[in-house]
Parts: sequence; C-alpha cells; structure tokens
Amino acid sequence: MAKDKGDVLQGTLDMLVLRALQLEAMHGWGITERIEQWSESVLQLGQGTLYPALYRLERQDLIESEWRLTANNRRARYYSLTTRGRRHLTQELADWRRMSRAINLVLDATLESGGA
Amino acid sequence: MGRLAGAWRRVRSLGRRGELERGLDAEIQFHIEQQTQKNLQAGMTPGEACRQARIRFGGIERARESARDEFRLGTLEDAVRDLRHGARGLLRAPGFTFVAIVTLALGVGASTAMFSVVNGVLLRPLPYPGQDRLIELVHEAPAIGIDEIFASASVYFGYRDHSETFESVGLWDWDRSPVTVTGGGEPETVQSLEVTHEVLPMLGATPVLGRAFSEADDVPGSTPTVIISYGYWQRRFGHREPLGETLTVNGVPRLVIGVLPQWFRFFDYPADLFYPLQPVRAAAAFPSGDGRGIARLKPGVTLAAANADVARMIPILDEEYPGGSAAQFGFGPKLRWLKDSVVGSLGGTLWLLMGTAGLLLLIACTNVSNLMLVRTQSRRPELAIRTALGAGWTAVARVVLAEAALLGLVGGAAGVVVAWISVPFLLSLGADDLPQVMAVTIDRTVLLVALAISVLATLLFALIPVFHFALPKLRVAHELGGGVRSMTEGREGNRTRHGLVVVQVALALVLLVGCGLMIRTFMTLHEVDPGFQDPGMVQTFQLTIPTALVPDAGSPGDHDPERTVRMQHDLLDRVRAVPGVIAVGFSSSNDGLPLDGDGRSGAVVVEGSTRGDGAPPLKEIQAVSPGFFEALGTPLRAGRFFDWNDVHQSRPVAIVSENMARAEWGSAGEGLGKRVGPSQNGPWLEVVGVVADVRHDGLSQPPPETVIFPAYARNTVASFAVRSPRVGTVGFLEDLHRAVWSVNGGLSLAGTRTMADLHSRSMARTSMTLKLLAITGALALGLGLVGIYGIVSYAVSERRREIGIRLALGARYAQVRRMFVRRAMVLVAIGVAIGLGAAVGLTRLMASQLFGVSPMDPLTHVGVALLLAAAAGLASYLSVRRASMLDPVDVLRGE
Repeated sequence: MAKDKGDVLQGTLDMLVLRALQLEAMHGWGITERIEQWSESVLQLGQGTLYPALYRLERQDLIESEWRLTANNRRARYYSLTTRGRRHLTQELADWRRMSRAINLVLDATLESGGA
Repeated sequence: MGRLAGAWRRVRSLGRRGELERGLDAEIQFHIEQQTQKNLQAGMTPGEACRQARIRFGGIERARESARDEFRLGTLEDAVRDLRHGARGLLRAPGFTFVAIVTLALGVGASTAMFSVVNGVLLRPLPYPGQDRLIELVHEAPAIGIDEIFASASVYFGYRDHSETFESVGLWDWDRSPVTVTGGGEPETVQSLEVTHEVLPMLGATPVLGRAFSEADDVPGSTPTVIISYGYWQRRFGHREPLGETLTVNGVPRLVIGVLPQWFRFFDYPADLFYPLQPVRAAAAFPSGDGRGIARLKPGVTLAAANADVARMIPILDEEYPGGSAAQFGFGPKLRWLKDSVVGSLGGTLWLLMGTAGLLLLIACTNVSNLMLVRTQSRRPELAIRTALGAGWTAVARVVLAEAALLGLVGGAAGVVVAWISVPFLLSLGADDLPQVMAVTIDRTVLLVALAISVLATLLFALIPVFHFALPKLRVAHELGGGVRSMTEGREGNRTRHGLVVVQVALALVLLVGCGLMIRTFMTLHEVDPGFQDPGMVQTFQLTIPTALVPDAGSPGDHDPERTVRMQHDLLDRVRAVPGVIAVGFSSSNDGLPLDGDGRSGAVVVEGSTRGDGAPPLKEIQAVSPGFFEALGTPLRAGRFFDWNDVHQSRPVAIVSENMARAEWGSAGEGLGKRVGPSQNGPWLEVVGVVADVRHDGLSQPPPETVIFPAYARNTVASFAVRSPRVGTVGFLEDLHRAVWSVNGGLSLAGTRTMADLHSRSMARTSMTLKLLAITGALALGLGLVGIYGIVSYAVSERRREIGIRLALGARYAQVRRMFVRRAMVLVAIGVAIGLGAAVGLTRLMASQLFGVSPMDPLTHVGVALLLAAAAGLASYLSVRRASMLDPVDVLRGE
C-alpha cells in the first residue's frame, strides 16, 4: 500500500506547516518565511502548494483560522493548531523520527559493510 | 467535543464558500504584498519587486485552483459526485431501474393516495370557522333501549335558558324537505332546511348579500323569510338582484333576505333554501327528539363538562315541559363533537385501508430491496476492486445509498403522480360513503407525508443490501480470483434474498386474507333478505303537496290531513293507470321506505302483553296506503293489507311485522285480532295483518319491530313506491311526471331513486372497502409473484454450471426444473405459514367491517393460502421453464 511520491511529499509538507504553527498562530506568508528561515533557505515553499495545504488541513480539522489585524494594521488570516492538530503533529513527528532513523541506519550500515 | 466543533466548522464552511474564495484572494494578495515589501527592502525596483514576488509565488491561478479543489471537496460535493455516479450506473441498467421505479411508485402512490383521503376526512377540521367548539346535541335513553335521540324544541329552549357551558344553541330540521317552489316559471322541487336563527352564524355562514336571520324571524307569525344558497341564486336569478324577491315555498310566499357564501355547504346535505324553524314554546314536550340540535361551547369547556351541564339541566326541563319523565327513560346526555357526527364510523374503515396501503408499500420495498441485492451482487467484482484499493465498506455503502437515493427520489415523485391520478378514482369509489363536505386534495401535509414515506422506503430497501455486504467484509481474493468459483458462492446473498421473498409472501397473504373476508362479507350482505323483492323494478320518489292546494279551513297556514290524503289517493290512481305499472303505494312522510336512512319511532304497547324480556315500548312506526307493500314486494304473512276504507274512515286498524308477532304472540297467525295502542289506556287498534320483516335500518342491522298504520297526513310529504318492469327504461319517468301533473300542474317529483339504488347504497361502505382491498390485494399478489419469478430466474442463472453438469450427467430437464420449483415452494410454504400466523392476529383489527363471517374464518384463511401457494407454484414453474432451456454443452464450455 505505497503512497505515491506526491502523497509522501504532501504528508511531509503538512507536518512542516503544523510544526511551524506549533509555537504561535501565523498567516500564510509568515509560515513560508519561518520554514525558509529554519531550513536555512533550503526549503522554499512553492506557494501554489501552501494554500491548498492550509485549506486541506483546515478541512481535516487540524488547524483553524481567523481574520486578524497585523502589526501594520493589515487584515490577514491567521492559522493556529487545534487540539487534534497538536496530537496529530506529535504523532507525525514520532513517526518521522523513527522512519528517518531507520533509513539512516540502513544507509550508514550499507556504506560500512560495503567498505573494507 | 472537539470532534463536534470540527464537524460544526465543516458544516459552516459549506455555506461560506463565497466568503472563502474572497478570503483566498485576499490572502494571496497579502502574501504577494509582503514578498514585494521584502524585495523592495532587498533593493529591487518597485516594478521588479512586484514581478519577482509574483514569480516566486508561482502560478496564482493554479494556487487558486488547488485551494479551491481542497475546499471544494467538502461532503456536499462528495455527495453530488456520488449521485452523478449513481445516476450513470442506473441509466446503464434501464431494466432494473424501470422495474424498481414502477414498484416504488405503486407503493408510495397507494400510501399517499390513501393518506390524502385519511387526511382530508379524518384529520382536517370541518370547513366551518371555529368548528373545534361545535357539538351536536345527542342524547340516549338506555332504559327504553334507545341508543341515539337528538333534540327538540324543548331542548332548544331549555338549554338556551339554563346552560352554563353553551355559548349558543340552535335547532334545525329537514323533515319538510324537499319543498316545492312556485311562482315565476315551472314549479321546482328544492331541498330545504328549517333553522333557528343561531344555526347559520354558528357555522360561519355569513350572507354575502343581505342579512342573516334574527330573533325576530323566529317568532311565529312574523313575515315569512328565506335565505338562499349561492348556487340557487345563480340558477334561479342569474345575476339579478335576489333580495326583496318573493319565493312561494310550499304555498307560503317568502321574502328573500339573504344569499349564503359560495363556499358554504350544510354538511353533506345540499340544501338550497333555509327558512326559520319558529319553534313554539307552548307546544314543546320533554323528552322528545324530532329535530336536530347543535351548540357552540364556551372557550375552554370540555365535552365532559358539557355533558355534566346537560345532565344537570335535564331535571329542570322535566319540570318545565310536559311529557314523560326523563328518569323513567333513562334520558341522558351523549354529546359529541360535530366532526364526529359527520365522520361517523368511517374512521375505523379508513385507518384499516391505510394499513393495507402500508402493507403494500412494505411489499414494494422488499421487492426493490431484492432487486438491489441482486444488482449489488452482480457488481461484486467492481466493488471488490474498490475495496482492494483501500475503500472501506463505506465506499460500497455510498454507491448503494447514492443509487437508492436516486431511485427513492424518482420513485417517490412518480408515486405522487400515481396518487394524484388515483385520488379522484378513490373518491368516486367512496362517493356514497365519504362525507362530501370534507375536501380531499393533495395538499402540503400530504406532500410532506409522501416525502417521509419515500425517505423511509428508501432507507428500508437500501439498508438491507448495505448491511448484507458490510457485515461479512468483501473477501477480495475470493472475488477477484477468476477461474475457480466454488459452488457455494453467493450463498450468503441467497439467505437474505430468500428471507425477503418469505416476507413478501407472508405480507401478500395477510392482505389477500383480508380481501377474502371482505368478499365473503359483501356476498353475505348481498344475500340478506331485505324484506322487499326485485328492487330493480321498484321506482321511488318523494312528493310534497303545497299547503296552498290542501289548506285547512279551520287553521290557516296548516294543511288539511283529509284533503291531503284524498289528493294522494288521486295521485296513486293516476300513477296506477300508467301503462306497465303493476302496483303503487305511498308512505306518509318519509318514514316508510327501507334503507333510505330515515324512519320514525314511537311508543306502541300491546294489550295485555305477556312478553317477559322487558321489550322497549318504542317501535318503528309507519303510515302506508294500500298498495305500498305490494309495490315493494313485501310478502304478507297473515291477515290482509289495508284498503281505502281503512284510510279514509280512519279505522282503528294496524299491521305489525312478523318478528313482533312472534315475540308477542308466538306466531304470525296468532297476532290477528290482537290489539295495540299508544299506551295501556288505549285507544286500541286491531291487528288485521302481519307482514314479513323489513331491514329498514340497514342490511347488517336486525329488522326493527314495526307497527304500520293506515295512511294519515302528518304533513304533506309522501314517499311513493311504483313497481313496474318498465323501471329504468326511457320514458317511464316522463309518464310518471305526466300522471302527477294531470292531478295538478304545481306538483313535482323529487328524489327519484330505484330500490336497487337504495339497496346498493346501503352496502356502500362494504362495497368501497372491498374494492380498495381487492385492488391492493391484486397489486400485492402481482408484486409477490413477480418477486418469486425473479428469484427463481436468478437462482437458475446462478447455478448454470450446476445445471449443466447435472444435465451432462444424465438428469432430465424435468428433474432439474422440479428441483428449482421445489426449492421455491419451500420458501413459499414458509411465507404462507408465517403469513397465516400474522393473519390470525391482524384480521382481528377488521372485525368491525365484517358481517356474517368471523375474522378467524378458517375457510377463508386456508382457501387463500392454497390459492396463493398455487399461484406461486405456477409462477416459479413458468420461471424455471423459461430459464432452463440450456444446452449443457454451452454451459460447460462457456463461462
């Protein structure tokens, strides 16, 4: 039951967005900036995928949104995690760490045995 | 709680689509502006900053599209997409779709049509404003065996004077109807009603022209007035001003003072003229019951309180008015709501018919459910693939539910159309029995109920296939593994389908048993000896002689009884002379004709009666002319009929009915020479003849003990009976008319009906119930047989390999056919058994509709069961024959 590449990427993107919102509520632009910052400019979110993701997450009830005024008195939509979202994020993070550790072990093990 | 909030959010978001789209645009706008800001700070030119920001954002339209896709995939859109799939699937299987829709339409249509009648007659209020406080003044006198006694002048005055719970009391009577209206053209016979001035306002009948009756009109001796109906105004006066015109009603010139509104109908009685009743206080006696009374209760008064009030007033009336003692008769109140008076005992019948329509709906649902099961089963491979790709059983459920919803929608709509067509037919079946004053239409309530029925039906027939497939999860490998298919494949499906067929057969049996019982009731009623013979040869009519033609010299305004009877005798002779007439006679007033719903009872005692059973002194009383019984064909059991001397010399003679003679004196012959009279003090009359019993009140009622006097004109109305083989042929009525006119041009016939009409009308309730049950039963039988046919066909097609193998191994076609028919008959037998059990329990509910046959009648139950089994056997045999023309080689080779 393999998810195709798109699904995997989609799931990861969701996780990143949720993580970005873990600390505080933010608007879409803010999320992009934060992820770019944290990833040392490696991950530059294609905005074409960000907003669909946000709407999808909202529909799945993992985040909720409300319109607020920014510091400059501009109207923007701020997203925040729901309780369900927090739980989902914790779960996803645990899964991801386990998965990536396993992958790393395999990759490193092969290199070692392949050597000498 | 969070889940609920989330769900709520999602539901809300459905409605906020527009807002979401605008929000998305705003967000994108905001995002690009921020990026532009950042670019500006990084040193780009404004134009460049903007362009880079847009490029960085990516395809705006694409973003919009994807975002829209996300929030477009809400539940609503999902549902719409499922429905579209469902519709395509249904259109690809037109046979299935057609049969399913027609079956549903039948079930929903029958239930809706029946409900519209129930709604119109039973549930909706009478069409009179404020009718929820209107009651009819009914009393009982159990001590003398009287079930129902109405009202009289004493009751009217008494309750008006003393009541604490009645806001208004009114009295009416139709004894003098029909009346003859003369002056200005041909004499007309018109249905009329006498009313006190409270009656019409109580029913909300405020005249559209002129004024209503006032208290002054009710004073005897005041200027005679009349109020006419809207229809009569149009017919008689056209568009001319009617107020101030004079109509001569039964010889009395009356001033037209008002016209009633077009919508107004006095219950089912098509009265066109209303004139004041003018009850006379001095002449009132209590207790008595020769009129009808209605009253309006004060707001908040219950029926019990009103009954208590009347009980309180009865002793007061006893004191104030002369007559017998109320206590002696056990005279007491039995008030009822006006609605109940109109509906009568129709309620039980209508709910019974509603129940049968419901059964038909159930059968239709099981049929469609079976069809859906078969269809879902044949789509197993397709559905299994979906399951393999990760869809749970909810995906299967969605497919089935989508198709079911569409079928339910279209079937329900078709059902409403079927109902709309059937309602006029239903009403025509019940024309003689249903109260016409209640309008039966398909209104909002009926449509809502139709919708509810459709939804319920859809759930019923959809959930069975869904649960059937959900519970044992589809075993993917089993279904997709092409080649080897085990013999036991589809066995679970069979169990459910067999169960459904059993249910169908059981339900059909219950309906058919009910039908059979009604048929027997009808036949029994038909064979009851009504007391007259060859009703098709007997023509009846009413004739009212205008008082002006037979005035009483002594008391102006009254008729002279002697002159009236002489004129009636004259008429009789003229009618007798019409070619083809064998016998003719009349009964004074409207009391003598059997089965016309009218009659009169009075106190008659027998001299020296030794009867020990405490017989009620009230007997059915009539006054007839010579020739009356001969015309009806009521046989004479002993003695003689009246002759004209008895009539014109007012001889003290009487005729009694056979049942009375037997009860009093042991046999018909013994009654001759005995004496009867109004009280033990006389005056006595000698019994000169005994006639056969006549079922005066109804075919299902026992014939009343009757005492018949020689004709005397209590009023100027008489009911004539003419026996002739020419009845019903062209020209006969004209001959009768001419005979009547030859006596006086101002006379006319009214209410011409044959005894056959009266006879069949008295069976109207049974007839209507029977016809409706027969239709429902036939439909149920048809659906049931179709179901059996279908299941056998399917079984045969499923087991083609098995059949092929058996045939190849030497079995004969006949043996194979027998095998399938046997299996089908097992199901039918189980269904019949269950159905019989249910029938025994359920037919009890229709006991009140039956006559002459018990609801448990074994002959009917067993007979119907056998018939159904035989029909089912035939259906399965035909089905097998059609399906089993298989060549074993083809079967084994192909797949």
